[in-house]
Amino acid sequence: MPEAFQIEELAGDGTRTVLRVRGHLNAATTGQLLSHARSIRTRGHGLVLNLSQVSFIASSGVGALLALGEEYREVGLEVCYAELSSVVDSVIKLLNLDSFLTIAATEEEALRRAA
Amino acid sequence: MSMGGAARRHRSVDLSIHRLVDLEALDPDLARLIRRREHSLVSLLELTNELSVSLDPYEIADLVLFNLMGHLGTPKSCLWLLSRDERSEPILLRAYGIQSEKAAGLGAVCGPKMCSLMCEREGPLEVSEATPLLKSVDRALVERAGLALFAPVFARTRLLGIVALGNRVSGESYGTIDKQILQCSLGALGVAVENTSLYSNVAEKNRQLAQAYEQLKENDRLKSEFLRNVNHELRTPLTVILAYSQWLVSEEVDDSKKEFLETIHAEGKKLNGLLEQLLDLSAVSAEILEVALEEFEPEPLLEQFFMNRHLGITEGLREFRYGSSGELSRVRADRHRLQQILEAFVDNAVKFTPQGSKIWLRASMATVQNQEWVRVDVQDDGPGIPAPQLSELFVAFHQGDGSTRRRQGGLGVGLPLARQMAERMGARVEVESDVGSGATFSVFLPVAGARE
Repeated sequence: MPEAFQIEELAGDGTRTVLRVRGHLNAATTGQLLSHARSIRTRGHGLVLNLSQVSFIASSGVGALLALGEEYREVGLEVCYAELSSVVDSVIKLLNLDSFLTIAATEEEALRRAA
Repeated sequence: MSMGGAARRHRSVDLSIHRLVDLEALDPDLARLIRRREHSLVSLLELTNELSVSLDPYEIADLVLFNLMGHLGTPKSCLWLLSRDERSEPILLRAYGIQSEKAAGLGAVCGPKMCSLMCEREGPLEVSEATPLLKSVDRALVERAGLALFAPVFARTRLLGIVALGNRVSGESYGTIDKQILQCSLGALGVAVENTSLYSNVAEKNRQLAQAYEQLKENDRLKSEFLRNVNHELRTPLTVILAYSQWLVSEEVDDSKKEFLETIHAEGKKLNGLLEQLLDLSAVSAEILEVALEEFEPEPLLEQFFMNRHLGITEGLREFRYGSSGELSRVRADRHRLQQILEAFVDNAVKFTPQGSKIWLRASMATVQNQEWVRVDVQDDGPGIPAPQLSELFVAFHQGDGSTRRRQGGLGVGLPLARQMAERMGARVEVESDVGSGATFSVFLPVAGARE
């Protein structure tokens, strides 16, 4: 039984909102992440996505992360991916996406970058 | 985006190829290549797994595009479906990393050209291969969109749509194996889109059938209402005609005129009987046929019925006999309706047997499914009824093979009405027949005091 998918929203620094994602990021859950992230984008906030508790990521999950980054970029905002779990980190590196995505070791570092 | 369907049965896929081989012991580039291939296969399996749970084309588009973007590492993708009407432009289902308006425009401008090129090749087409064939303005549009690859979506041999993918963020080009796996993924997409279309067609046909059924029920109700109205309008003048013809017949008129008057009166009575049947049938259809149940001895009613019909039947040169075997229990039924049922049986026997035939009215006790019934049979030794027609005998306005109606007259409502009336009073009717051995129509009457 996979861990329940959860998204926790934190205030961030006023210009960026933090989303902590927990569980499997796959076809069944990417819709939830995208719609939450889009609501933050419409507020004009950048996004810090904490992926430390993502225990599985499917191709559709990776695709959603890329689409999210592109959607923010289009409106002049940025997504920073923080604290990648080992499963997320290995897939990102395997696909050579690490040079394209903005990745931070910690949430604090991600917020500092914005500042 | 909704992926509710996928949530129902999504399963994580783990091929674990890397557990079969010690990748650490291999050359790092080779190990990486194996991991990439494993990832590609897992992505393909994930996609087929995800597609199996969705019937919504937009949900399917999301599943495929996110899977391909994640698997091939591109932030841009679009999916257009072709309308079955080949003249129309490709319809944009989803676009990621490209504004929808731009993607729709791309489909309109480049779609037809891309379609013909991909049909020739039956596989993906890199933008660099296609752009020389486009007008300069269209070429600029494609290049600005950051797209790298167009790929066809086929179901069997029919082109259903086009997928476009952006440049890969790793800067790598799309290799042969990437394109092969892409084609496999789009094959699964083609099947999913075709399934969606088939399912939608069936669902739409079911909806239309349900609508047609409702319309038929309404038409049937209107027909019954019409029959009731017409009956009323016809019976009023007919009652007057019958009254006057009856009066004239009883007067002293010369023989030649008397014969005419008797014919007028007899035919008028026949017409009145038909109208009564129609009225009852429309009452059944409208579910307002009244039955007055009471408990009574059936034998006196049957004897009286026999006496009433005996002369008329024998006058038509058919032998008519009555008999009951054993003592009959009291029944719970509607006397008037029971007589109408027996009239229908006997009329049917007279109508469909040649002169010289025999007709029996018999009553007996019967046990069916541990329940006691009084069984009343009307049996004849006529030509019998072919088996395929037996089930249609109780359908309104239907008589045997249809040709008999024209020959024998009548409306074909007697037996259907008999069945409806029997059912209304908790009785049942049956027919048994073999061609050449006559027919037996039976009504089973519930014994008084028996459980419902």
